[in-house]
Amino acid sequence: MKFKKVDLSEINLQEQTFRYTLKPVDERLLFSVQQAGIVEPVVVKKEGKDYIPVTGFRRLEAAGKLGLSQVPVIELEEKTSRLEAFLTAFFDNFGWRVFSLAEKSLAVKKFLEFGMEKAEIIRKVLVWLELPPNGRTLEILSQLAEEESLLPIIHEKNWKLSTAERLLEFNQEERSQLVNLVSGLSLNRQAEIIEGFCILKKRWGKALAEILKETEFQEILAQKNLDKVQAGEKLAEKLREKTSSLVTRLLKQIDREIMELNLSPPLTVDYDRTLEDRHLTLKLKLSSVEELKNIIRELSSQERESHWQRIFALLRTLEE
Amino acid sequence: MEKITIEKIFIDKKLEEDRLVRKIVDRLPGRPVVLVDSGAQVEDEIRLSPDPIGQGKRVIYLTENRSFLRPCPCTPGCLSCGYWNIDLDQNCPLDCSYCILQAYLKGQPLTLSVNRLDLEKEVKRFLSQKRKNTIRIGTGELTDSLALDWLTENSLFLVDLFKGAERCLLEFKTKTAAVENLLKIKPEANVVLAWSLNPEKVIAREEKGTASLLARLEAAKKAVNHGYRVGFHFDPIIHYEGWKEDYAEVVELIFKMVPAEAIFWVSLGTLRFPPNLPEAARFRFKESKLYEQEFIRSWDGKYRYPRPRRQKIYQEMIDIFCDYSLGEKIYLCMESPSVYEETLIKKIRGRYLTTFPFFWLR
Repeated sequence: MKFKKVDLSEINLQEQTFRYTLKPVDERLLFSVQQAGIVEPVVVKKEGKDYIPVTGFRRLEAAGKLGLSQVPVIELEEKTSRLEAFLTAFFDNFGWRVFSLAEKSLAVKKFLEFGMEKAEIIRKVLVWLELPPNGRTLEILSQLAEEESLLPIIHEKNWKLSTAERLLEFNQEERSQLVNLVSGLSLNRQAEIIEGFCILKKRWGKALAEILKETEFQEILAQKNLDKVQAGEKLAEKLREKTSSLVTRLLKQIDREIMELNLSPPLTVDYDRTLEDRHLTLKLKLSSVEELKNIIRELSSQERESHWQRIFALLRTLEE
Repeated sequence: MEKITIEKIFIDKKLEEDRLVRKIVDRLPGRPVVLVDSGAQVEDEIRLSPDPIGQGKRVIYLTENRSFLRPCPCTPGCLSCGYWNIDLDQNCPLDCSYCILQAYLKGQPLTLSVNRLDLEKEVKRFLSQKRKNTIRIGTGELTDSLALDWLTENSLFLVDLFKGAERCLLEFKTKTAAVENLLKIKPEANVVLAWSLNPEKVIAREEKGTASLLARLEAAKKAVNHGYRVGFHFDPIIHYEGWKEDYAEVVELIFKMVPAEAIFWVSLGTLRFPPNLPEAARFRFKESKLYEQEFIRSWDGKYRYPRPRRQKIYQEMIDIFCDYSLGEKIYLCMESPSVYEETLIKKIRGRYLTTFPFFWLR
């Protein structure tokens, strides 16, 4: 390896052969390069008459934006294979940051392209990437790497493998539709919505487009006054209702009865929202015997009895 | 014998000359045989497959087990039925979409333990302990008890080992019709042959490689005619539109083919699974809608049908069995004491059973 300074024009900045990272150049990096130049040399490889970047894509992009004429480089020896060069690129980042799932899928794609055996990728690379080291994971990552339009959102929210796997259960058109629906939402909300539609698609045997035509979903999507996050919340809520209809229906009924009890604030009624435990929990905040007496009177008043009866009946209900 | 594909045999190096190993290898002619230092080497090969779980079911690893007997762990917060497991083989050649082993054993091969002398010593020690109540013990926790019996003849060995054991019932739990070996020998009073049952449409969709419902019940009939007592496990019961009618038909079929007196126990358990099972199973069973049903995450972290549904299922099933006067032979598997109390205990002619669950075994 040789250290030298080369003209930026000698480096083919369009060449992305060794790039698998998706982090964009940010203000911080631009400021740093502006102040001190490129402190850590980028690694390049000579192919033909050009140098092609192996590491430091962001630094080179910043240098270009800032109009730097020369940059420090470390040139790999000519005999360095593409796989060896990519290992350099991989470990250049490995030590200082965790890759997103999207980057992991791109890295695996590159290892395959540069001739690493599948078995070696499973045994070594997947372990480095802290993913389940088996053939199934390799299959999912390879599929993901081909889905260029999905990679930005997977990267941005740092999706889990299981969420990406669920998304891959939809066809290409549906994936774009879904990504469009969930972009801008939190990771958990994205995962919840994808999971919800996945369940409905399989349960109903319908395409996503057909599911979205359901009036209740249409109503949410048509509401112009909702921002992305609010619409996402409503969508998730509707999906919960649809996928857990039995529990949701009972919870709604119990909540309504509790509300109609119209109890005073120091008293709260709680219950297990999975409906496993069939008890009610009453919490009181009292400061005198008088208050206690009042609360007991309030709780046992005639007009509340039917609500209590219905609540207990609902908690013990069996499916029709 | 069911349709089971064995592609390759791995043998623990130090067991190369073992007589049982030789016997098993001879029964699988034409398969490549590889000697290995440890199971890790076998798993390392299996995991390269795009379907490591499926691949694990096609590879046999002959090895030793350090210990065989353990009480069934049940699950926290559930009423345990006091079962004991014999971990003779691990992993199952049958392929059920709901099988917990997919998450539990992941890509483990069909691991067959051949150190029978150690098993014999452990069982004898276990049987020599004095106990007040009868216990049940079986091999069906980490595999199907009989799916590989044509290969291992485990049933013959175990029946002989448990012969005359007091206060101990040995159960072979299966989804096959592979009772040939057990029909060759004299039935022992403490041996129970049990079948896991589901309606035929569930079997066809969710239980790949298993025997049909009719074949299972034909096998049960043969076993009863030979002098064995039998058990039936409705576990997992799957909820779907029309489930009740389908399960009622299964029960009706049982009583058409098997006399009620020969039935020793019936267990009921609804579908439940740990959170990591769906991701292991979904892609392997693309047609299955099992994991797309309504579940709640319950007290032990497992997913279960919501209680109003579960309890309804139990109630209906118990009613069906009570019609055949078999209510007293029923127990629930992995259920909370509260569900147990509200369904089973009340149901059995108002008798409150304090000796859960097998008062008739005292």
